[in-house]
Amino acid sequence: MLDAFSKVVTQADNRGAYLSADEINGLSAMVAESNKRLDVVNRLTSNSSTIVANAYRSLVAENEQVFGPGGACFHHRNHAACLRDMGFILRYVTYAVLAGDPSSLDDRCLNGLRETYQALGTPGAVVASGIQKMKDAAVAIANDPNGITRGDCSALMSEVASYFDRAAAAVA
Amino acid sequence: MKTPLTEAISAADLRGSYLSNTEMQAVFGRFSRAKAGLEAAKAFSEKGKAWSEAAANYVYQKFPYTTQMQGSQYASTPEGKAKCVRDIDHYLRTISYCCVVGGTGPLDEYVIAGLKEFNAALGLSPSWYVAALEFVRDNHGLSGDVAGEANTYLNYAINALS
Repeated sequence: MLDAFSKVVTQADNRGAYLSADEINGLSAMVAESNKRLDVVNRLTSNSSTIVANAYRSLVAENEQVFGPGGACFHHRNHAACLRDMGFILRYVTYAVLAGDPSSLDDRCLNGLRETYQALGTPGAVVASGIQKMKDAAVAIANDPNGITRGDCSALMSEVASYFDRAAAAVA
Repeated sequence: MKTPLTEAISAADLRGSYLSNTEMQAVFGRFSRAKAGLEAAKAFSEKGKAWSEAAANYVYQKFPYTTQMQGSQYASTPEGKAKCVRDIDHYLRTISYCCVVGGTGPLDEYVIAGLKEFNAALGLSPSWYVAALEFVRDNHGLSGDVAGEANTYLNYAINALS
């Protein structure tokens, strides 16, 4: 598992070089903005059950054939498993946001997830749609300007969105 | 790779929970110290090569036999001297990586794993590298928190070699 720092280090090590001035400046910029990052992780963590539950409600409303009688996700045990998995994915996304690198998400959550869903008969496209709903809710919560010093968070928000997109692409 | 951030994530993941306040505090502390570490890494990037050469010369003076003995593990030839500088630079480069990530992960993975076997097989004496790293530690000219970051990992490598 890597973070934003060790990612740059492994690249430099492959060249056998010290870090370049550009690489150091890039990491310094990330450090200078680190409070925003930690605030985002805090907000996602504090609102995790809301994000998952709301995304799930909307997912069920749109996919009656999957969640209703005869569907792949019928009955409570399957609903519970689906909610649990969405929570897992959100949790690993918060780890990736903290690290500033998607390797924790990849290594510990996404690798093999598509194959697992295929073996279980879980419709990956529906899971991907659920992840997109979590993304919209998460970005809305993380980017809410109320109760915080205002600043430019656009780069960080697209980074957060990219981790959800990565998760969705891994199962779709 | 073991860094303060990956350690916090591993601790949370082991419990299967979101990051707790304990881990967030640790990460907050890491980010507050990261600036000094990056400045130390910058000094290594700019001066590491010069430090390696100065340290190699110091080792030749401290252990004169290293330039007198014949053999591929010694520095009696220009090739031997070049390899000596290259190896010291390898230590310094990895130490600069540690300053970047804020932990000993790069030294552990790239240098210390297999170090004893490597030195024994090639007939290299760890004391040469200890002397070189001590020379860099005592002469890098850094100060304050920046020196603190650099010295932490220089000392870590020295202790691993000792």
